[in-house]
Amino acid sequence: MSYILEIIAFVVIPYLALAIFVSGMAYRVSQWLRSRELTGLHTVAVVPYTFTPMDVIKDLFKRVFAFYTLPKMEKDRVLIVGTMMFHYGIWFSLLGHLAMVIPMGISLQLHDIIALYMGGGAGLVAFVGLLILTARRAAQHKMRLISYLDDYFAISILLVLIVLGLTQTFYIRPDFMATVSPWLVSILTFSPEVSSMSQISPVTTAHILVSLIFIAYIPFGKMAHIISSIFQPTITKSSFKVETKESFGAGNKAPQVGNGDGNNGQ
Amino acid sequence: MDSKAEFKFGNTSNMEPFWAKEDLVKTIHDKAGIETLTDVIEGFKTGLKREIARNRNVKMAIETCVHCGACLNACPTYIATGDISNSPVGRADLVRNVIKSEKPAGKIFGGLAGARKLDAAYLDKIATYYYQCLECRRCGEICPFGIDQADVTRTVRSVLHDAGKISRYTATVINNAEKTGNNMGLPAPALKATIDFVKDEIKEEKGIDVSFKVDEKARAMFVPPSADFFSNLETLKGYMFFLHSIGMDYTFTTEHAELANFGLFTDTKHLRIIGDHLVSVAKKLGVKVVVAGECGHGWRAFKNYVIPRLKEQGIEGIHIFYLVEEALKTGKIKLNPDNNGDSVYVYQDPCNYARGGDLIEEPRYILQKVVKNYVDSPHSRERTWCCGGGGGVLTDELLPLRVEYAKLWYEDAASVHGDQVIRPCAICKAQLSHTIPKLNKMNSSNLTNSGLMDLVYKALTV
Ligand code: SF4
Ligand code: SF4
Repeated sequence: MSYILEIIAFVVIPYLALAIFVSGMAYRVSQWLRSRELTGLHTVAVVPYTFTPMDVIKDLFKRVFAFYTLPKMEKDRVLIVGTMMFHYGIWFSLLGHLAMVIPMGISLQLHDIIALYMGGGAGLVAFVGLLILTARRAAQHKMRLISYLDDYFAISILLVLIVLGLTQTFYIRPDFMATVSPWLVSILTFSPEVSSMSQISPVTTAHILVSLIFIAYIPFGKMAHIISSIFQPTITKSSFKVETKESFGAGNKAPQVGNGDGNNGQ
Repeated sequence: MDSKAEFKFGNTSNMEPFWAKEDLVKTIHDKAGIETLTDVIEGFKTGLKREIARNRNVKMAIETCVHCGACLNACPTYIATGDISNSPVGRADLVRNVIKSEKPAGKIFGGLAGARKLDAAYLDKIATYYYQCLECRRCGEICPFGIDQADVTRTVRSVLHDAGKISRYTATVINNAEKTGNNMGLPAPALKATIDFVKDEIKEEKGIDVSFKVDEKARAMFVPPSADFFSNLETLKGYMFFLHSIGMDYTFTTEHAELANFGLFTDTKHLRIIGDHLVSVAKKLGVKVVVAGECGHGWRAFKNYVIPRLKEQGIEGIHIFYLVEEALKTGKIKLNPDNNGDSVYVYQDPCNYARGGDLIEEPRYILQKVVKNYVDSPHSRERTWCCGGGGGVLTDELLPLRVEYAKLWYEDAASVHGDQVIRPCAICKAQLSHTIPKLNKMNSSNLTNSGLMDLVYKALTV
């Protein structure tokens, strides 16, 4: 790859993708925050008895990490298994990627083994999960009826991304720590340096470029769901609590005559 | 005239409600202070965009759905009909696709991206399917992103309302409520006569002269749904006998004898008009607290609109179940569950008590004190099925659809060998009274139903 191409692929495109991602997400969130009403109601919480911020935080965690709402009604096991495998697979893979930029204080050899078995394993789990979800979408008539370009695009790009990732981890096995890692650190510290990337394989380059396209695409479609729950008032605005403990004058066996004792706005 | 279309599994596009005629629409619009739109198509699009931008819950619902289809497994209208447009995500897509057609992606990719141009026929389709939603919030409960189609339905209906497309049933009820202060259109003398009649019945059955007031100043104002003055007299007895037993100084109001609020189903402007009227009556009567009777959606409107408004006036709002629970816990009232016999009572939560209503354990606490055999429906608490008449669907021309919707809870009750279903909600009671005879016949069974205060009445001892 010529130096110019390297600069485009590993400096221009990454910063462009990041800029689109950050400004796109910022725009979407600002649009969500701009709409202030709740269809005329004080609160629109759905989950009962979520009164305190703690209740809300607990609910949010259960949602994100346990997918606890999915088995609540009539169960769709394929969806539950597929979604669990896919998301946990992705999260662990992402953690693995993080190890490229955060010094772990372990030997390169150990690093390599962890990347191979844990990273590769997580990638495989994500891959199988995504295949399950894709098959579900393609095979069920009702799912095809609610699937559009956005859904197929997201699935396709993720499949390509994961396949490229797995190919590297299992077959190519490049020395990430000597090649991709320094470059990634340089990008994230805003001092881009592409020299370590001259030897990487086309598969790695493709994996990087596809992930950058994916990152840039996140703000535009359904992928924005990675943060939307936090802003969704049915989840994070706690329920209006009705005062229940006062007896409001109950218990006086002799009924009082209402006297509008100054507290009635008359 | 055979007004009822035939039910076909897989396609319910023929299940259209009767639409309000021009004069009724005009009356309703005048009350809401709006002009009827002349260009309905453009007006609908503009209104839709405005309302989505205004309401965060709706905006996020429209924009963050991942089309995972989880809600298909929750929605009673989809499960009962198998029509994708009668599902949460499918219903949302009907309008989402109109929005898409105006966005760059929709302009470039068109139908591939789901974009759909709005025309008169498509608007009719939207209206039909949006009036098949029960606003039960089961979708909101299962959706990992908290997308609650019920509030999308409310919003789209509100935009349809402004465009002059309102179901005749909900428009009539709203008009009644705004004219007479109650949904049934019952005049004050009729309300008073019913209350006196019930008082005499209590005297006969329990030997007690219950005290109450009507349209007088009091410490509390008691507001049941108006159906309780008409068809649920046993529930009314329960309220009156209980409130007397705890010595509550309370008044009925004939000016606003209505807890239900069909503005919630149809249009926020009417939700406010009706809710504000209740607040003004409470203020006029100088009460310190307004007590709500048994009504699911009425409770949602009361809890999330009326109580905050009452509080601004220094008035509290509460559900009667809280008072019953407290009276039981403090030993203020005594009950004899034997009075309710050996029947198996199945509790089924009204949607709006369970999902977002925070009124799940209280009625159960009461029920287990007033009957000997109480069981929960397998689909209970947040999982409860809608009665099949919620969200303004409770109209005669949609009865074939309502019967299909009703099969879900009916089978649930049958699976635990229930004799009587308890659903403390005016809409549930009306829907059950219309559908149980049909379902009993189909299943050669004899399930019955009642409210909760009805059972409190029977069990309450002096
Ligand atoms: S469950 Fe939520 S995200 Fe999934 S299709 Fe339904 S509304 Fe969309
Ligand atoms: S509110 Fe109920 S009926 Fe309406 S879409 Fe949601 S689950 Fe279906």
